[in-house]
Amino acid sequence: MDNKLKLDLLRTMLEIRKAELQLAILYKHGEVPCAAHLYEGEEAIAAGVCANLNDKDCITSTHRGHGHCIAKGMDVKKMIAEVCARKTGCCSGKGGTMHMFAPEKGVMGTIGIVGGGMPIATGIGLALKMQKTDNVAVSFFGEGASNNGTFHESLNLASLWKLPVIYVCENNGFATSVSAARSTSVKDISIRALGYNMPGVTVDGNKVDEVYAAAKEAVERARAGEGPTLIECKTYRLRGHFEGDDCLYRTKEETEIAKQLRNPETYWKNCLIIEGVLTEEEYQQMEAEVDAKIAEAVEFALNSPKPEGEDAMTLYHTPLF
Amino acid sequence: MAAKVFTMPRLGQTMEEGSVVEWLVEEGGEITEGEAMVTIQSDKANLEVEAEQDGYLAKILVTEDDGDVEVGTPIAIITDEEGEDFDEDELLAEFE
Ligand SMILES: Cc1ncc(C[n+]2csc(CCOP(=O)(O)OP(=O)(O)O)c2C)c(N)n1
Repeated sequence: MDNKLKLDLLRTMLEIRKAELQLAILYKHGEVPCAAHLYEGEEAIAAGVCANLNDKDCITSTHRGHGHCIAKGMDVKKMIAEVCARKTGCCSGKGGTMHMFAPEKGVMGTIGIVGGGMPIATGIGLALKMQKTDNVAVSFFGEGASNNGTFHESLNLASLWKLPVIYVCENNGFATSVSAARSTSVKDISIRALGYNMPGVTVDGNKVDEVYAAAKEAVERARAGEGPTLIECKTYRLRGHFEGDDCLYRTKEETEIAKQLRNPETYWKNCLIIEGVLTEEEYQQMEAEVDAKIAEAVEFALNSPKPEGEDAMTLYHTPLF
Repeated sequence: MAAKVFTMPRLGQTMEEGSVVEWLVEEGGEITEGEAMVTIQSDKANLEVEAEQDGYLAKILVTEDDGDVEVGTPIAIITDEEGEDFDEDELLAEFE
């Protein structure tokens, strides 16, 4: 990893976290008309994986998708505007948080149907292979989604047909209010790869360097025509399942400890300072720049008009002629 | 230096009104961005609501005795500085 990439990873993670914290406030102010599932604490996964991708590589994302969008290059202004249902959003404010797309950047949807992104990414992988490109598709999904039938169907076909797909399981310990221990037959999701005859690895999803390295290997395999990989990233969902979740299914102490010990920005910032790639002053500068960028995006969203009734039937289909 | 109105937050898709259960910071006390400032009862749950900035809880407008108020109703005034002057009528005018 060169120094520029190391710093870019930190900046991307900061952008994701700061955007999420602002969206939490916008939600409380009534600017987000839909449930908001925030990604705070999981940002190393999106950043580490997407740093291996170019604009022609595609991702499918989830109900917890803001971080994937930012990491894959969606304009953060358009992202925040979409979540706030503004006309200037990436889908004209009619999709909202769980229907965000930026095909020019390879963002093929923040899909609210749990497990829904895996077959789509598999299909994209088939298309990319048939078109003889060396591009890849990545599907992000939770450990809860890995218990869905679509996981089995997708991994089986992708392995059989050696499709260029990377399945990235974000194991944050919970599916809504149900802990992984109560819903999932295995401790490590990656072991399930064995059943599909593909490589499976588990990494610490709070360490962006580990995520990056695992994704790099998987992306290289996929580009070389060697087929799919399952990557499990262990992480922790610092916020509730959605904003307004009282989290009665876990203790406050547990969450506080996770907040202290498993902060991906602090980890990576410290690594870079120890390595001499970053100084504390440079970090402060980066943080201020990110704050300004997110503040500008929030202002842009709040100053943008909402869709009108007459917009209801437009933009749903690509015109055929 | 600036003063801001803190309104009854929306804490869920179906929440239209809520009540103050407890202020976790005294009137005039210091608040820290991201730290719990007030417990609110929504239609579904009791939730701790975090301060949105560093500053001071200059004035409490709604207490546990007031019962339910609509989402968006001013419940407190926040200032950047301790003991900062503010014009309450002017701040609240836009909420009338
Ligand atoms: C098919 C389907 N079933 C149920 C839901 C309701 N639902 C939304 S998110 C969620 C939990 C998802 O958990 P996980 O896949 O682990 O992702 P996480 O929320 O932890 O990121 C559920 C059950 C849904 N959106 N779609």
